[in-house]
Amino acid sequence: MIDRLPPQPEEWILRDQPIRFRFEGRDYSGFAGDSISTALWANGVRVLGRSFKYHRPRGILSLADLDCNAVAEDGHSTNIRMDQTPIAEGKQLRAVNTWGGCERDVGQFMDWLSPFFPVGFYYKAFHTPRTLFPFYEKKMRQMAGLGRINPARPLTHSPKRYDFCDVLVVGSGPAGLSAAIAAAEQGLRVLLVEEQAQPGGTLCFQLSGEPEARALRRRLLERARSLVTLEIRTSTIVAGYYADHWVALIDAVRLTKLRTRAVVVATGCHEQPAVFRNNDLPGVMLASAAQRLVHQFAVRPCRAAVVLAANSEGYRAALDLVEAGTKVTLIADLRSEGERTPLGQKAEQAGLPIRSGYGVYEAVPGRGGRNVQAAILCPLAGDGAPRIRDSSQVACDAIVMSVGWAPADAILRQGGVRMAHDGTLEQLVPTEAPDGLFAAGRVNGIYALEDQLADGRRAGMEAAAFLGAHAPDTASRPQRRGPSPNHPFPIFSHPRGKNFVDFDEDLQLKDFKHAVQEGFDSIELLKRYSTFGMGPSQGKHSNLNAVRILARLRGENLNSTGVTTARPFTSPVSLGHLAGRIFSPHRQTPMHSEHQRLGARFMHVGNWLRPEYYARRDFSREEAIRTEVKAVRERAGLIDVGTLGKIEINGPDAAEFIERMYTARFAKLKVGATRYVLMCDESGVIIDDGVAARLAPNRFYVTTTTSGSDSVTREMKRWAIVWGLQVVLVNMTGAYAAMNLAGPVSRQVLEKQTDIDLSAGQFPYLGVREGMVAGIPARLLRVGFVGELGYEIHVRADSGLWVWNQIMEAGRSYGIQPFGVEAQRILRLEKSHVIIGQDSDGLTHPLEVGMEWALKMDKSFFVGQRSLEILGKKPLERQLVGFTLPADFGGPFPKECHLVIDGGEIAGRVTSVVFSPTLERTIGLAYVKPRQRQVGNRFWIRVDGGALVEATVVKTPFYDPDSLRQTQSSVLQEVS
Amino acid sequence: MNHQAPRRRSPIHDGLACLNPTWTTVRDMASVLHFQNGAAEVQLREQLALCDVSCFERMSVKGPGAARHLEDCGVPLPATLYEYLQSDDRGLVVRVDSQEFFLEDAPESRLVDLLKSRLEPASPGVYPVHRQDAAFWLTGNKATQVLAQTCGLDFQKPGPQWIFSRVAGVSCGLLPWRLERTPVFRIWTDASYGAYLWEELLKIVREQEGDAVGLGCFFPQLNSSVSHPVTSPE
Repeated sequence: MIDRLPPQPEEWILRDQPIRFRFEGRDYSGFAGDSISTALWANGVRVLGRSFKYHRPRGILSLADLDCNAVAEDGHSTNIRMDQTPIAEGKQLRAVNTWGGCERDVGQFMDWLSPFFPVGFYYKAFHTPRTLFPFYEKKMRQMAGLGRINPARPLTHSPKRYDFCDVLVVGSGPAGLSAAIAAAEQGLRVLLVEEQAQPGGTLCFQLSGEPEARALRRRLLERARSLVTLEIRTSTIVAGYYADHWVALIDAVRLTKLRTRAVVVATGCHEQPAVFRNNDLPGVMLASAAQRLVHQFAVRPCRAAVVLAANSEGYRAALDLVEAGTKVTLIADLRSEGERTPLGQKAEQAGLPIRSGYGVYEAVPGRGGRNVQAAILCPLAGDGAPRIRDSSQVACDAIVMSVGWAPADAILRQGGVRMAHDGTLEQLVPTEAPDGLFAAGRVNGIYALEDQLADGRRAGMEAAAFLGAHAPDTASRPQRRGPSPNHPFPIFSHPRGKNFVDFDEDLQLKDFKHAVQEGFDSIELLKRYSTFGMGPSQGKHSNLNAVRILARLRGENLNSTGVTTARPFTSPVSLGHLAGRIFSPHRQTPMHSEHQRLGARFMHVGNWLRPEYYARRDFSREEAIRTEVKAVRERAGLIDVGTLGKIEINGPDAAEFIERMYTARFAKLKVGATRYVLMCDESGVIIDDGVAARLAPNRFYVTTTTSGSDSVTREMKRWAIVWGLQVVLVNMTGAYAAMNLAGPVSRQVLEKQTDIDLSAGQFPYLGVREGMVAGIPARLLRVGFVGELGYEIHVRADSGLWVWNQIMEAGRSYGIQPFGVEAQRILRLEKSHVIIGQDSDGLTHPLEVGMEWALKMDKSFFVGQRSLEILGKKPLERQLVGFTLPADFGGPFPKECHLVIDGGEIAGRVTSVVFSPTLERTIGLAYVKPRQRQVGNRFWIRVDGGALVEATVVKTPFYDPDSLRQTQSSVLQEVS
Repeated sequence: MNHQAPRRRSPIHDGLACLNPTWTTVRDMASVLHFQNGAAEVQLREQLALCDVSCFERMSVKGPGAARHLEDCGVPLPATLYEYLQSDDRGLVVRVDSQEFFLEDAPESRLVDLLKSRLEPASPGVYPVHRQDAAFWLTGNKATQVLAQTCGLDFQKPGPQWIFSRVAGVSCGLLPWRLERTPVFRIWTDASYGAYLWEELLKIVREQEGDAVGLGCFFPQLNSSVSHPVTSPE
């Protein structure tokens, strides 16, 4: 570690914890607390990455998340921000976006070709012919871009979490710490968030000339940590601010959704680069980066530096460098008057050469263009333009820039704060802020240390007063004072360019000029056309200079030019963080484990897991399903129908309520009887169906479709309120297990387990009875969805498995078999029973599916009645019909949603189609034009591949048209 | 001793069975007495633990006559919405709606049994509701860390009130509670979501160095009353 300095006071690295890692195939070492960039810099590595477009070598610029010069991948993760990411033992890293490695990137030929890639080149060159765009796009994606995604990366979870506080303070510099302490002292729950690894903000690195800075940081932190209601969270970014003080926090592990009641933004400022030729060379860095290297990481930034200054901080940085053993060759001060503070005197006393009214016109690259060899300085004319004839060259290996700051105002602007340019300060400062949002410190334009502390305290107290924890404070905001730390235009044109404004996107000064010449002369248009501020840094180092350039080109001030819109996220957030831990709730019936034991293959129906069919050894899926169908038709089958919605409707108005909700008539429905129910919405569209059972005069039990239970319950509750009826609704879907025992011997099977009289006379078709089954209180509905004698058995969920097993045991001697959803679909289709949601869609009304019989239009009212009266007077546009294919059909099999074609036009679609093992032919339901609905009519179905299959309209039901099987009793012998 | 297999079954029975617990029977339901030794589970209970209490009997009483009827039955009722009362034997009564009360027995209380017998046949304006919830206790000082990952509510300073919210994407009733000095979050959800919710919560509990515990560490009397833990129906 040739550039590691002796121990610095309060350095962040832990020298007793060495860490080894690899970068670009070479071994390096650092210390715990180092970031990847600082560890490499300490090892003398200067080229940390390659630029996005021109593959130019890049080093440390900001060391503070303001640029993406140094980005790496480690085989698992990509786009690792090296400035921010701590080194880890054994990590193997390589820079992203290089061809052949970071040092000798073959892609640097792009830099030589850069004159051929003016701004907007892509839009112009690849616009036509359009057919070639996919090719261009592919090539561009290959050439540009950041890291590669490793699809084989092991799945890791980034669990999201929710968090809460009274006051969120963003930024832990002097203003932030002061604000947090003030609010916490009022008893409020305060969360102080710092993006760096340690709190303190500028107190951690802007030290020279402020001997008290370290002591002040210690005092503030000590006080903060003594307050039990104040939590400090480091290495955490406030990535987004949303309505009602909802804030997205990002740390290394997770996204935290924070709900706070007030926010104090003390985010400080982002130091801004000067724009001159080759200002992106490794070795050209912001003064704050150099200071961070020295004080936080004990790394020597360079050997000999030219400091380009336009404020006191430049002098402070120069003195810091001298303290760190670096030679400061020259301070070039952009201001003609130079530095007139004690810092200026101190620099003079230290013997530092100072040239006031000078700027850096160009950085001279060393061999291979991978470092700085010298700086070309020019005196500045009165208008700030460099006098090139008087230029001189000064040898150095670094140019340290301190020319001004831009407020870190993204959170403020996302919160609705309007920023206005203060001409005296040469900075955007907040104006009006929404309730509960406060700014403090440098982002507020307050630079003097004591003023930052006072401003932080004021903001903290204002937040407390806003929350009612403190009487409104009369303390006023400290005045902005002292010379402006910001140069109004630290930007120097150069005929050979390479004076970069946006380092992320390799945008040069000329690109902005050309864009404006082409008419993209509003800030938002300029952003889209040039792409400035659209890289990973989100304009933190480029937005202000872009606005300045545009303002100058348009001859107006910054307030007139405006700024771009601030949107979340303020920094790149990995998709893994956004995805987090995925919750995918699914429901299981009480018999789930038994289905598994029986070999069920499950399918998702709504959010339920249901057995599709039960796999059998040596049977294909189709064979297994046919076996299940056969069992139901010939013996008995048992299906788990616990997923059906189950709603109890109680109360004196229960009958009236159900009369209004459903299309059938219920007023005269006898206790102990059930009825098929159809539910429509106000427009007459079918939304659900099921069975309603009358258990008592004022008590009904209604089933719904599997996916309809919640929505039907909500609709019912809504209408109950609207109508003001006295009903009590209870959704019992999960509380009851349900199974349907169906088949000609189902009565004999059930008789063994129940005390209910199952005889046809006592328990007729469409009856409901309550009694005991297998010793458990049960509710039995005699229904026939599959077209056989059948009993739906409803018992409380915790006893569902018990009853299932008892019935299976009772039916064993009859050859009972469990059957799944697929067999049920075949069985019901043989009976032409429609499935709502499969044979209907979001526009289907009962007249289209032949359900006039379910509509009691002479009732006084039901939901959808008026719409159905209107629809009834109009000609139908489609009709659901049953169809068959020829018995010897052997062509491509139609599928659900295949189109019905009539005269080359779409006439409808297939909604259900299966091969019926009972009828030994293909049957289905399809929407056709009304003129096609006649029995015997033939129509065409277009199947996969475009072939047309001829189908014939037939009368339905396909099976047992008189429904004798489900209504009559049967007596069969037990099988051996 | 010949024990008949219990007929009631927890909605998360399989999730429990795969952890090889020692079973007991509570209210005709196979329930976990413990997974580890008692001392270890008591320690977990204080730090972070998840316990299935689906075996408790519970019911709701709804309707305009519910409050009057319950008072007539001698059940003390919470005065305000979402408030709860607990009997000495840990029976629970919660006012979950203006006309709805949720009642839950602990192993030693019999309030629900008593009420069920008095509600048949139903009185006018009084509607008993069978409850078949999956019910869990999330306990310990780190319980809020699990809820912070699964529920969008602030539990740092929970009030003593019933809460309707979503946990891991599932609608739940929650009751912040204390068992002596141990924070307990009682969670109820639809039985059909039970297996899913148990699995998700246990995953996060284990990430936070907690684990599943049995009823034995909350109800020591179960350890002595069941000399021969009954095997599960399987």
